[in-house]
This record gives sequence, C-alpha cells and structure tokens, in this order.
Amino acid sequence: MINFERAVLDNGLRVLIHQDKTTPLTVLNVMYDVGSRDEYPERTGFAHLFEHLMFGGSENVAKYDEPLERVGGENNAFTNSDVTNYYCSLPHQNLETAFWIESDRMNQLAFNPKSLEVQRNVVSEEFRQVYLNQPYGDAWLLLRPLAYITHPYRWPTIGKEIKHVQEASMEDVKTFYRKYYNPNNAVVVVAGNINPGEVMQLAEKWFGSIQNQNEAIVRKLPKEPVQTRQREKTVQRDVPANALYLAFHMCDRHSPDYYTTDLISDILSNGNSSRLYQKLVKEQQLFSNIDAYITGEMDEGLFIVTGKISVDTDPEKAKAAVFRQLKEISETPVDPTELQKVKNKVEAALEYAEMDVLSRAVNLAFFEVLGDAGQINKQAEQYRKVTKEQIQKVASELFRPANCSILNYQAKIQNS
Amino acid sequence: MNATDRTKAPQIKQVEKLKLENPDFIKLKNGIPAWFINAGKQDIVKIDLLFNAGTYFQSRPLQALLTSKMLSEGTAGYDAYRIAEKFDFYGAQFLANCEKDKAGLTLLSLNKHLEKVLPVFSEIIFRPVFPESEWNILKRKHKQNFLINNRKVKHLARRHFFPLIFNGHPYGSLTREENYDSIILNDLKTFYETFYNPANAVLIISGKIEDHIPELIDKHIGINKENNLNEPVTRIDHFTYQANKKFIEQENALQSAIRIGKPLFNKKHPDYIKMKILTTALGGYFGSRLMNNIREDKGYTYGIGAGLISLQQAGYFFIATEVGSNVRNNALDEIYREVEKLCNENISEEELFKVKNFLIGNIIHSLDGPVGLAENFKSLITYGYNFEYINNLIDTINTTTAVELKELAGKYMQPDSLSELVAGQ
Repeated sequence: MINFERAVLDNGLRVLIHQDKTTPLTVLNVMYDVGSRDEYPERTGFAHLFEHLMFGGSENVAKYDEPLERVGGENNAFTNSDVTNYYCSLPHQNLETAFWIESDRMNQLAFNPKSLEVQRNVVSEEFRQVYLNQPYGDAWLLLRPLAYITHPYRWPTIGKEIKHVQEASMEDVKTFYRKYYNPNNAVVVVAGNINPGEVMQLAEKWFGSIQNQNEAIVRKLPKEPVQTRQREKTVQRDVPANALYLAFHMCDRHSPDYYTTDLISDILSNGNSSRLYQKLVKEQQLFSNIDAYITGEMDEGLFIVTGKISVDTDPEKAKAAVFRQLKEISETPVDPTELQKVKNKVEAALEYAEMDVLSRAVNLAFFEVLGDAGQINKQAEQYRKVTKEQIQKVASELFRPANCSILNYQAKIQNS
Repeated sequence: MNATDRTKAPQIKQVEKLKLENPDFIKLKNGIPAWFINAGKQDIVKIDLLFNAGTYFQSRPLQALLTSKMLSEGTAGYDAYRIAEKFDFYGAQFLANCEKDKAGLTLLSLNKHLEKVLPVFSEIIFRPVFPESEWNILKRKHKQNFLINNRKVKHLARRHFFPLIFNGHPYGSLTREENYDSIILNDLKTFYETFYNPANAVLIISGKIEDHIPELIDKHIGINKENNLNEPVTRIDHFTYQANKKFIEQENALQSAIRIGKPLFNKKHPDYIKMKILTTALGGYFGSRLMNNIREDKGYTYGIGAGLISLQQAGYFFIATEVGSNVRNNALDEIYREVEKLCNENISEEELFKVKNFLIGNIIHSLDGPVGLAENFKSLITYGYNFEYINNLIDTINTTTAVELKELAGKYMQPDSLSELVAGQ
C-alpha cells in the first residue's frame, strides 16, 4: 500500500506526494507524457535523443548535474515507447535544489548547439553498443517492423536507424520541446523523507509559474489493423546459438484483459517451476533458456516468447514444441494450484518492487500518466480476480497462428 | 505571481552526521554469527548467508561458481522441480551467487510465508545431493551463456582483466571454454564439503524482523553438519605485480572495450577512503573528469567509469569504458592525460567540495531500505567492521585535503604503473 496526496496546479501540472520517514532519501520524479510513439516516422529515436538534451543546461542552470552533485544527489532518466521519465534523488536536507534544477529545465531549456552535436554522437554510440555490437542486439530492430505495420510501436525507442538520430536539427529540438515539455503534459512526484505541506509550497514556488507553450495534447495515433496471417522472417548473424522470437498482438494497458495476459506469461515462464522452463529447457532440452513476457505498453502491445535453441537441435522442432505449449494453455484449463502460484508470485513481486523509494516514485508517476495513481494500490486485487476461464479465453485469442510474427535468428555456419 | 528568482541556487544545507544503529546479534546453535537489521515498511524478510567459498578458494576454474549454482538443483528431501515449485508457490526468491571471496545464498520472502520456505532453504544449505541429470543441463546452460557473452567485447575485457593485474594470484584465474568439459561433479562435492560449513559462514537477516523470527532462523539454519569444519579456511598468497599491456582482437567489433588498472589495498588500509575520493573525482560520477572529457566533450563513448574495489586479500583500481573502434587511441590518450593530471595538479577546492558531497550523498543513497542496509552491513562485517565505520566515514571524507590526494595519486596511480587491456578492434 503506497500512501500519497495529489494536487493539480493552475497550469495543469499534477503533483503527487508520498511520505516515507524511514528512508534518509528524497526523490523528485518528473514524468512527461511523451515517448517514441509520438515521433515522426522520419525522425525516429528523437524522444530519446531529446532526453539526453535535457541534461545540456537550462536558462539558469548551465549544467544540470553540477548543482545536484554539490548536494550529494544522483539522477537519471529513461525513455520508452510511451513516456519519458527524469528523476533525481538526494539527501532530504537539500530537496529544494532538485526543485530548482528540475523546474528550470521545464521552464526554459538552453538549446545549446554543442550539446546537440555531442549527444547525437553519444546516442549513436549507444545505438552501436546496445543494438549493433552485441549478439542478438538487433532483434528488436527486426521484430517491431515485422509485428506492426502502421502503429508507431513499429520502431524501437532508440530509433529505426542511426541516420535519423544524426539528422536531428535544432529546429526539431525546439518544436518538440514546445509541444511536449509543458506543465499540462507532466506529472511530478516527490517521495521520501519529506513534509507534505512544505513540498506543496515548494511545488507552487518552482513549478507554479511555468507557462504552457501548447494546449493539452490529444493523441491521434494510427491504430494497428488486426493481423490476419502469420508473418515470418529469418536472418543469419554471427552468433553462437540459434534463437527464436515470437510476437503476438495483445490488449492495451487499460483493458480488463491486461492482468490475465500478464498471468499467462507468468504461467509460461516466471520461475524455474514454470511450464516452458520445465518442459523445454529441462525435460526436452530443446532450449538453453526461454522466456515469455509482455511489453506492457499503453496502446496494444506485444506478448513475446523468446529463447536460445540448444546446440545441435533442429530449430523447427524447437519452434513446434513452443507452439504445443501455447496450444495447451489455450485448450486445457489451468490447474487451480498453478493459478494460485502465479498469483502469489505477483503479490510478492509487487511488494518487493516497493522496497526502495525511487521505484515507488516512478510507479506512482506511471499510474498517474496512465490515468489514476490510485490504481497502483489496486493491482494485487486485479490479479487476484483472474479466473481459469479467463486465462483460457484470452490465451486462445492471443495464440492464434494468424496473430503471430516469427523471427528466426540463425547462427551463421562458421567456415573454420 | 512570478516572484520566483530562478537565477539563484537554493542555499546548500550540510548533511549532519549519520547515526546508524548496529543490528542485533545472536549466535546460532551451530555457531553461525547472525545479525538482524529491522528496517523498511514492507512485510518482507531477506536472508543472506555468506560462505568463504568464492573463486579465491577453488582449485580449478568454475569449481566455486558451479557448486553454488548446483545447491538448489536437488537435495535429500526435494528434487529440483519441487524446490523451484515450493519457492514459486510462495512467491519467494532464491539466489545463489559467487564472487571472488564469498559465495552467497539469498532468500527473499513475504513474512507470512517465511515459515513455509525456510525448510527448503535449509535443505539447500545442508543436504544438497548434486544429481547427475541436473548437472548436465546446468553445465550446458552455463557453457552456452559463456559462449554468447564471449562475443561481447565488454565481457571479454572484464574476463581477461583479472588475469592481467592479478597474474599468479587466485584472483587472476581465467575461465576458458574447455574448463566446462573437464570439470566433474566430484569437484563440486569436494568443494561443498570443504567450504560450505557453519564455521565458514555469516548470516544477515533484514526487513521486518518480528519477535519470533530469530528463533525460526535458528531452528532452520542453526543445524550442525556432520563433518563440521573447526577453523575457517585461510590461504595466504604472495605475488608480485608488474604493469602489462594486452590486446584481444575481436573481428568486426564496432567498439573497443578498454580496462586500465592495477592491484591495490582493501578497505583495511588507512589510504582506502582517500583513494576512493580520488577515483570518484576521476570517474566515479556523472560529472567526473573522465565523463566530462571522454563522453560530454568528445562523444567517444556512452559511458566511462573508474573505481576502487575492496576484496578480502587485496583491492584494485580500475578504469572501464567501451569506445568506438576508430577513436580507441584518442580515448586512451585522453584517459592517461586525466590520470596524469591527478598526479601532478591539486584538485581545486570547488571540485573537491563537489566530489566529497557526491560521495556522502552516495553513501546515503546506499542506505535506502532494508536491502541497502543489508548490502552495506555485508561489506563491513566481512572485514570485521560494523555500522560504526559508516558513522565515521563522513568525518574522514570531510577532512581530506587536495594536497593529500595529489600525494596519493603520485604514489598509487602513476600511468606507467597501470596495466592496460583492449578488446575489440
């Protein structure tokens, strides 16, 4: 149970306050309701590049990190398909410093050309390091455009290609900032060792006077048409083992089926007693590892099954074995003990995830952007309510062959 | 309404002294020392059992690691599936990990299910049977992961760095592909019998410590073993360090992974904290000299770091990064330039203030929640320290001067005393 208070400032900024006197830390988290799904198809990777630029200085703070480091603070940020999140955490005595630097970059970014130039290179390096220069790194660059035809989820957050990042101009940066980086498009969470009354005053003082440069955003993203036949792609790469990726279209984050779908992934692969691990890794030894999970995105996301195929195993045989497992969960009701197991696991996992104050702050912000932070305390109940009938019904919809995109990621035969 | 003066930074308030209370202590029936850290808001208990059973103690590569991983693959009372199923059913998390000095078994559970999962944890500790069938699966899985990881320049560099700086010392042991084929189950059983003993263990329990918990822990973990080891196992090693360079070519790599460093002392040495300040200034935080130069100014890398790591028998200083292959030499030049500057010029008061406050903030960050407290305590108790050490840390940090730091850099960080490893192109 996470306690919190909520207020909305006159400029539309939502402020959530979560008090925890047991930690020496305080967190200021700002989440902007913009992600890579909001990018132009010819400027992919921009939301993430922009996140880097937010550290390049603002009107009154030449270097974002410097004042924070002076008071022993730490910060980081992440971008995904749906949101961009910034946080700083620091000893509670100096919380106001965090308000100063965080509000200044919402108020007026410096648009430093040198910063743009350097960050284009840094992000290109990140692209190479994470997506190109490691085995299986480009799998998502291949899988997304296979599974999606029209929805912007068809490109990964890093972007379709390095070229897009390198072509980003200062004009693009300014337009994006004015459109999305406004109080009415953000959620601020202050969490930790704090006094809620003081925090409210600080929020008014530092964020209250920031003007919106744009009206509240109404998203109009192209809806992904229903997939009507199975898609398959095969690539060969210099990797030590064959790998298999299956992607199935699933419901959006608001759908009542969301929690059921998540439990299906747990039945299949959460923990060493899960089905795919027991059957395919241990018993049949077709895979050296296998995983099923949901992307959990706000619009209709993907249910992924992926594994590394054992050496000397026919990939087709391994793939067929996976489909047999998916068929079984679609056709045979799940055992009540097994269902109870995954529910217990989720209940514990939710509790574990709330151990540190930073996770609590980020999760509160996420649920508020989703629509209502109060939902964070109702998750366990949502999972508890799922029935074995729902599991079977959702699974049989989900695992239809026509709903599937297959990526065969093959190891190149070595000529040595 | 617009009365907020954004041009002025809010006043900085000094962090007062830390006052951490030491955890409660009991000795279990079998002699294992146990500490209880009562912290956090969640109904969670975390148990960390540490043995002196890290890679330092092994007689061949993989022996220590695979022993720790096999413990939960079958016991006298439960087979691998039953163990996994029991933990999964109660939402408990079990983890075995193996480092250079210690091997650790960790159990994380909701309070309400602790009584159900402790008997399984106890079986893993005291009655593992090392079944042949599970062994073959586990070995194959680890070997495949090893081969995948070996394609990554970062992993290559990390693996070859220790043999380079700890050549001839057990910390410098190198795992090769063929080791997976030559190690046998008996190696693991011998290792287990020798090192996984109460006389060789410490226990840390953190989270919501209810009154009945110490007794429950004693019941399940305070058990005596048949061939109980009377004395902790110790090994003394003598080796001499020589600076060395190594290049590992990886065809088609877009990036080169760089590791630079040398062996140094551990946290028992009087200069340890001061060297920690120095390595922080060099590459321990986002605003560090290396980050400013190599990432922010030149854009050669996504990240670069430097640090000082404490081990039981020694410590080491390192710099680590991955850079574009085409800028490898420029990056190396800049790294050495930054090291040399620390040896020759005093750090400015302004920068020193920042570094010290960052370090203090970093300590406070590490103390958030029961897990943070337990991790800190673990890293102290294995050296014979307790939370008193952290309480004194802030004073030591605040009184260190720029002149001292330059002296230490000259003494311990001369560029020609450092070893260098490059993996990639």
